[in-house]
Amino acid sequence: MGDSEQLIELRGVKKAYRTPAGDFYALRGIDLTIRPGEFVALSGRSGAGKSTLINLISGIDRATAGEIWIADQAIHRMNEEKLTRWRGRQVGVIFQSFQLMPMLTCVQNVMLPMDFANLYKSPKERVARAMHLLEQVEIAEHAHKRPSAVSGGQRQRVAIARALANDPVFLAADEPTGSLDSKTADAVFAVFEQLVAAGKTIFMATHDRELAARAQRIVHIEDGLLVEDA
Amino acid sequence: MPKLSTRWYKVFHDLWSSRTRTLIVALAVAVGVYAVGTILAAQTLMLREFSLGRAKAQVASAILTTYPFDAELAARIAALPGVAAAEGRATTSVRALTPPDTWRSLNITVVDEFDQMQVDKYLPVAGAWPTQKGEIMLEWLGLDYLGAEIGDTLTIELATGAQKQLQVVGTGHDPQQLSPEIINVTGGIVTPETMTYLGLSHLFTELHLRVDAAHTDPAGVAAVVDAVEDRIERSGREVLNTYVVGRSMIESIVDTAVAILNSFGWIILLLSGFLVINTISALIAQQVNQIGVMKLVGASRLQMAAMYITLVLIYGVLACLIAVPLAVLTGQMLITNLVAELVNLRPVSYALPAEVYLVMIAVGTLIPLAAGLLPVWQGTRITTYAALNDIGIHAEAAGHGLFERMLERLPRRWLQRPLLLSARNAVRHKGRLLRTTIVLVLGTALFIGVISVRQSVNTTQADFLRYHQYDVRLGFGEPLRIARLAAIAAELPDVVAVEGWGLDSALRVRPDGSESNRYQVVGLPGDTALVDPVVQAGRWLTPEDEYAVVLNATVAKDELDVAVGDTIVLDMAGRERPWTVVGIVSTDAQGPKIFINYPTFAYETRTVGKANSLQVISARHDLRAQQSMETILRNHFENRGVEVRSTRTTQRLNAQNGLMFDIIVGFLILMAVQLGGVGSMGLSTTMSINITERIREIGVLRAIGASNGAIRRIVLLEGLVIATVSWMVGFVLSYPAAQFMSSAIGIALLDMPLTFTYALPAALLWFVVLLGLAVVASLGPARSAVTLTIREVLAYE
Amino acid sequence: MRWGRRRTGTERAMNGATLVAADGIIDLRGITKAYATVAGPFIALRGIDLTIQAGEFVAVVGKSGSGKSTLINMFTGIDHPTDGEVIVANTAIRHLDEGKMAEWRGRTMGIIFQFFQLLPTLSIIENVMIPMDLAGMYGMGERYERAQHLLAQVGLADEAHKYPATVSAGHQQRAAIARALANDPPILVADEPTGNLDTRAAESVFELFETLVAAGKTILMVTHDSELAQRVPRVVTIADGLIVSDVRRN
Repeated sequence: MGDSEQLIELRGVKKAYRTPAGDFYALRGIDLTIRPGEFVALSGRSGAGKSTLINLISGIDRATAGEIWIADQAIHRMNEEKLTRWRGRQVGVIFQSFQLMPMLTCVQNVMLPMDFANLYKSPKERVARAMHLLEQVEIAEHAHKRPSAVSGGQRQRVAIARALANDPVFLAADEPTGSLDSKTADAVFAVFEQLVAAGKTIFMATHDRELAARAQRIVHIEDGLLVEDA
Repeated sequence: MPKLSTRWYKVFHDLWSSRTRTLIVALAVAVGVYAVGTILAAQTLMLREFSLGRAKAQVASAILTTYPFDAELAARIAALPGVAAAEGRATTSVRALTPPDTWRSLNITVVDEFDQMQVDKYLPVAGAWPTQKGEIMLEWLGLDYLGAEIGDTLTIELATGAQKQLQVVGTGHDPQQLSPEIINVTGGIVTPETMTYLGLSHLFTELHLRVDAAHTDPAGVAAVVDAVEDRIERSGREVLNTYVVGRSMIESIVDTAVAILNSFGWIILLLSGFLVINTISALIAQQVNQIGVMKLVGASRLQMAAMYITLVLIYGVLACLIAVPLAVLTGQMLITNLVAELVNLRPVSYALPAEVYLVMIAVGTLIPLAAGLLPVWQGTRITTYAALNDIGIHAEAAGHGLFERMLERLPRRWLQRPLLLSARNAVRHKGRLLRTTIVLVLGTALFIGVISVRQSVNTTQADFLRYHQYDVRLGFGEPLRIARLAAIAAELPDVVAVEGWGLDSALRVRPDGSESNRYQVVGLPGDTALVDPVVQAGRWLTPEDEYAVVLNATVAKDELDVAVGDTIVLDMAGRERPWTVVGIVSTDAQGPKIFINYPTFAYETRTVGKANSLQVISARHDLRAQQSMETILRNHFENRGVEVRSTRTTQRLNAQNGLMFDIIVGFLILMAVQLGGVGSMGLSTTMSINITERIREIGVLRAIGASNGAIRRIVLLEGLVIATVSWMVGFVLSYPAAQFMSSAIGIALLDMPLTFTYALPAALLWFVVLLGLAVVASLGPARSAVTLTIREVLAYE
Repeated sequence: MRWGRRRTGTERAMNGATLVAADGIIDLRGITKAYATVAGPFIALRGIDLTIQAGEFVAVVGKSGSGKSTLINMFTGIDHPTDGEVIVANTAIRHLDEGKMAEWRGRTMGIIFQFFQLLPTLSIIENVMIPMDLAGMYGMGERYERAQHLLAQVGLADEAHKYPATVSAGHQQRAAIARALANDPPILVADEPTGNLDTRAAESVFELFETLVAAGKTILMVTHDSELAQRVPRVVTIADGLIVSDVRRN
């Protein structure tokens, strides 16, 4: 895998939410391709469909129609179980609300994906790798604290380290700086820039236009349709 | 860093970081394990040790009374086909001096060879066999009853009035002997030589017969008994009485207790199962977001299932660790403290079979597992998005079920939104509500039922005294002139009235020529004020009755072919006469009785103007007054030269009847406590789960202007709605349930329904308890909810 | 347009609170808010002074994490300042405890959340009636008619008896607005009211706000949607815990 020119390819992707008031289309036909190593920002207002698109690409939610190909794999055909295993190894997901496990220490949070994927098998190797990733996001000194004992920006760094745990093909981030003050947001964004420089592919949803402007490519979404690709 | 995989840290922290929750979940499971375990342990031990005791004692199939015979005849009978064992015995009733100055009844039985006993055995408990002349082995419960120790010398008084000394050299266990506290007599065994020493015959008058395995059915026993009767008669002796051993009181008590435990065991198992399901499924439902996070980072279904199975198993193991030892201990305590003395059990072992432990462990682990697997499976099946946002799993949309429609019918003025909110919230998780309601409804119905049975037992016990409406009864060795007895009694200032009765025995000669066991006959004035009978058929005696009899229910049960109006032949005082059955009355739990009008009785027994039993009504009727009257009367009569054979007060009789019910009542209370416990736990866990799940809604209510009081009212109302509705349904069901139970238990125990009394106070008290529990269980979480600021409550959006 | 008549509720709610003279309907004086974190105190607000007059329509804008949500929590009484004084409708709200605050809030302001926060077990009209029940406002029979009237105003008369989960997000937000108006409070506070709505639904909610302001309500709206903010008469911009601009358009 990876020899294809496109890493991510979406063809006519639609997503409807069933409400008793009728189907509500959050995505109404998305076509998008992303090449390996790209840093793509997805901008748009609240409710435009940003989160939905991130969820579909990371396999967190399922499309109603259309095809999603990632690294030559047909994501839209996978069942829930396959999708989960695939995501565990191939995708790192970062949320605005961090979604760390509260009862585990920071380093344990980073080790959890390795454990589930059964990668880096020896405990020593896992700890070493987790510590290395925490160092990369400059949070190694808090490794043995619980998430509740560190600040929001630090939690997001832990979440990024966790997203990198299994050396995924790409990172999907949904408003990663949404809960952070501007200084912390800058720092987190800088981490993304480093990762891209190191060859990672990042797809990031944000409503912060300034931040979006610093990505290589901006995709703008409005009411479930891509309206601009710069 | 330890070797454990990271995911197991999550499991460990789930347990350790929320120690209170861990404890509550483990306790909820433990309550079920304990309830089921106690019942199983008590039931298994009681049944096993009881049958074991009887098997070891090799209980006789029949006892034949005849003229004196020796061991040689017994040996010849033992050789007859169908006979497994036959031994001669003779029993004589004496009084033994119990320190400091009470005389108590003792039945001394002569046994030929102690260590060769093959039927109705005494199983040695302590000390030695009484092989020497002047030695006696007492039934082990007799030691306490007679206030004696092994090695003591016992002063006894024979029927002749002669006093002798016997040395107590040991104790033995006779499983057929009920607690002396109940039957007011104990027993002991001696050698033929000792009988001679006492001035009595060393020969036997009773043949204790045990049939072999091929003849244990009633027809088989009858056939063997016939053959034995023939053999005895060929030896030139007339068979005076044949007593075919049937179901004893002990067996009735044990069987009833086991039946109670058995039927309630299943119900309590079901209820505690529901309790466990509610607790575990709510616990897992709260984990859906974390399931989402784990899916996010690639956890497979099996990996997560393994984690939660482990978690739930640990809860189960904790529950078992708490409950299994407690349940076993309680079961054993019930046997030692409640059952053993009353039914005369001497458990050989308190060990429980593996099945009992297996059932407890299954309740503690399999039910939680089953309860936990479904939500875990559902939680892992939905999309990661749904799990992360915790939607789609336990969102049961507000429906338009029956309850909803009922609510809508209520006038709008009446049903304010806060009340509506409470009511709708209560029905939100229909499965949980259903299980909670079933637990509470059944718990309520059975709790009230059980207490009602207990009340009915009391009423029934009080009914027994309807046949003993006097204070003290004096028994004499022979019929004495009533006028003289009355005159002696009248010398005492506290004696209000006396009435002389004649007591004898009779057997029925059945149309087919066979004879019944011996029944007690009571000859009493037809217009006696001392009997207030419960007439089940026909009528009570009148002063005009001549050859008329009233049977009590115990006789009627033995003589099923007899109906009111029939004529039966009774053999009394050596004369066979036809008698007309005019009525059947309830039992007084003192065995079979036939009531006859005194003049006819006196004529038939040739005791006109005489009585061997004097019923005395004294000025005061409490236990102490009766006991002092008893002693005063005995001393007074003996001072006047009238020997008193036996005395009894009715309060003591009542207390003894009570002892008989003690086991049943004890188990009923145990059931009530367990039902109450499971019901309480069910309501409490449901309420805390409900409130904990709705902390955010409470924040919303805060934001739209709900004061602390308003939130408390909403939360409380919900608990009160559940408690009230469940109680009302349970209350309605409790009446038939109580009626059914009191009838079933009465029939099992006494062959008649108990006198039904509904325990309304208990029903009302239980309602108050439920309301209190609802308040306590809701207020805890509600208090923590109101102390949270709205910011905290809404923070995680 | 009248949105209902008021009762004596506000006066009653003020029992135990200090009545103070203030410049506007909302008056914030030197508000500082620090959160204790293990990583040391985090200052969310660094001395905010803000006065809002009755009848104003104010947008509070700022990036996520700038402190705008914290600010809104201050004058709704949802959270308390570390330092400074909050005076709303002449009441110094730090003198109220959580329970009293809830009662006072129920009569003084209607809150509109990004995620609507309707009670799922009550129908839409019941959701609108519950603040009246809680505050003991309006006669028992009157509450139903008032709720229907309010739902008609927000264009939801037809869906009054449906449950929240069965209507669209836009309609849920309208129901939440009707609920916020239930006790006819002088102030409406909306936290990202259009954050979860599509453009069309967001537009109609915004228009509803403009109508309410025209009818005399004071509205505070937190948003990070700068386009929407541009249409509000007064925009307060907050960044890293400080008011960086306060712009009034005619």
